[in-house]
Amino acid sequence: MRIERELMRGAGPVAVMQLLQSGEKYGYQLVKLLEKQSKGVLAMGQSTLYPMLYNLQAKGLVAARMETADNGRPRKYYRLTDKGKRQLIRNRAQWEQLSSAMGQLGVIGG
Amino acid sequence: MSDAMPANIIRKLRYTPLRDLLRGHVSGRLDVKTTIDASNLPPPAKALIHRIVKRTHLWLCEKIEVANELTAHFADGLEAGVTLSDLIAKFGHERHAAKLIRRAKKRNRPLPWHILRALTWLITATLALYAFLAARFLIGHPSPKVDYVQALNRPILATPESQRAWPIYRQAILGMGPRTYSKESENRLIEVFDARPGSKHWDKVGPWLAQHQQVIDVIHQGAEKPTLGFILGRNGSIRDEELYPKFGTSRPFAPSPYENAVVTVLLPHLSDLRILADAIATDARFARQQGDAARLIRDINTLLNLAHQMHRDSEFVVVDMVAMSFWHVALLATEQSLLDEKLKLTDTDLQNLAHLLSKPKLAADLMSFAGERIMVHDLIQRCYTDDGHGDGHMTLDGYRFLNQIDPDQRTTSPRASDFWPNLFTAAATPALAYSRREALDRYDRLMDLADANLRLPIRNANWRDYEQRVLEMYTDIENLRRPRVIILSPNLALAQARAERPLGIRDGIVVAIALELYHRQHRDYPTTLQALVPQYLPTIPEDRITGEPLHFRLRNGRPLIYSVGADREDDAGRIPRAPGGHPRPWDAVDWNIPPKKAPDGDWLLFPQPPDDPDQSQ
Repeated sequence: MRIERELMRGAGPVAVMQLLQSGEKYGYQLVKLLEKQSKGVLAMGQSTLYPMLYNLQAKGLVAARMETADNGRPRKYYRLTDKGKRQLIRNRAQWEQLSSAMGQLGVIGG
Repeated sequence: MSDAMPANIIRKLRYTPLRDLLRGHVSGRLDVKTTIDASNLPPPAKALIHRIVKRTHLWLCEKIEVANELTAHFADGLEAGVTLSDLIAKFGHERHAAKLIRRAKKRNRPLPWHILRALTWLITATLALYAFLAARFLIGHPSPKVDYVQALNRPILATPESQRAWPIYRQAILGMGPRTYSKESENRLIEVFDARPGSKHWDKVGPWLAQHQQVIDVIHQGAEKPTLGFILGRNGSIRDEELYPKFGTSRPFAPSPYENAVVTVLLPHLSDLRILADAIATDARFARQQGDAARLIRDINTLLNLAHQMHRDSEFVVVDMVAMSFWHVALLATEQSLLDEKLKLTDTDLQNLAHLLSKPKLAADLMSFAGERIMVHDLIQRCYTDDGHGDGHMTLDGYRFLNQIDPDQRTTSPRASDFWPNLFTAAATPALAYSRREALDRYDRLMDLADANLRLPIRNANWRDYEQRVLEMYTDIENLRRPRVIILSPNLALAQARAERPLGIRDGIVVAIALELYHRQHRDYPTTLQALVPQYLPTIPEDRITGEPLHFRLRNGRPLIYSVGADREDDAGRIPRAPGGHPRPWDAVDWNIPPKKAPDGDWLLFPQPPDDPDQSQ
């Protein structure tokens, strides 16, 4: 099922930050993890992922570093900053509240 | 090979950052094409990355980052066993991707770039707004809808011609002599008008009056009419070939877009009426010297009527000030007649005079600011556009007009040092000038204050608020927003003070008349003014400085009537004097000075101080 763009706009960055919480990752890795862990629900085209990462970077929520991989190719690794970690905690609480409210309304879990 | 080498070096140089070049390293690391081509990706992936990167229109250093990241992405995908077609399909729309990447990357640019970009936008938006306002300023034209000159003339024209004095006065003016100016004839008139009994030219007065007796009679006839009847404007009474050859019908006015503007209305009759009033004042002096009470009373009546006609017809301060000067001359003639022991005015004469003089109570009875307001309303309709709902904006036509009539601009020749300030003012006007409604509202609020003050005794008036607002209007920024010429008469407080002075003198004369009548009946003066009420005076006039009853005492057996003056202390009718002893009677007449700072002395109302250096004021 494809998530509508407006919903994705809110959920996508939180999902990416959540994935980065366990350690730094590169772009393709994030694409695959999103697809796998959300069972395809939060799979996003790379045309969306990379701009999203750049936006998170501009907000200071993630930081990036270039590293040459074993195969000699340069890769850009993203990691969560302290600010990003605090933001993730806040976002998580908000999502929990939202989820609970939606559950009480019978929108989900019914 | 020899051609390829220089081309390669030039390309590398082109794509080498300055930092590397300064270190002597021609890295060429910003070469996106080479970077993408160097990857082992299949050609369709390379082409896609190339197109996306190109479409981002980012800086080279940003493009190379995006190229590296996308190259790595495709390489990682292929390595993971995904087919190229799947990778391309899942990538998304390339144009959309380029747009999003561009936006996101730009957000990562350094703060100075963001500040510069915001400034650029701000400047561009400001310039665009200014261009719009300037175009509106240049293209817009005022469309005056109200003919204020006609409105001012309406009550005059509604009066039958037989009730207007001007047609009679013009005969008197023509009877005074040729209309061509000559210094010699002016000097002759000054000698006669300035002569006083016993002075050098006094002997010329009698013959001159005899020669002009018919003129004097005509002036008296004119003064019996209820209205002046001078019609304002280019097609009004000024169109009189015989009286005003410069403006007569044989010399048509040059066409002008402002030909009916109130501010351009000429008032040449004021100087003519002044000559008529001087002639009557001279006749009054002569009548007193001859002991001819009836003639004197007629002269005083004529001066009072002339002042009344002028004030009734016109609402301009300048006209009222001239009218007030005639009223003042009548007051002085009355005072002199009361002091003259040889001249016996009858009780009826005195009662009639007191009655006539008592009419004006406040400055508002002698002057009006309505004409000033009309003038500015007319100016605004000639400078601003009209949107039909009372609003509009300043126009180039209006700006030029205001500059033409600005006294500062007209009386001083342009200076080189004024060029830049003037240019700045001209450039700022389209953007900063008040809207028509704002300009009108601000002016009307100011004039409401002035009108309210005029209806009060000056001691109760609050001119500070008015003056504060006028001062605010004269700040540099306000001058840009509201051209200063919009305030044509800022010193209306002074105008009211000018009216209160003769009113005070009048109060003294009215009391002096009542004392004279009392004295005639009782062969003595009363001990207090209260004894005059109500038989000789309805009430004792108020001291115009304190609001308390006027003061009275006898000096050398003659009454002395005075206000306590600016120091608010009874100084027994003594006037202020300079350290050398020189009399300074008008120093006591000040409503603004704190009493403790005011000079010692009273405002002598009757009789007027003999040596009065400021009498002309």
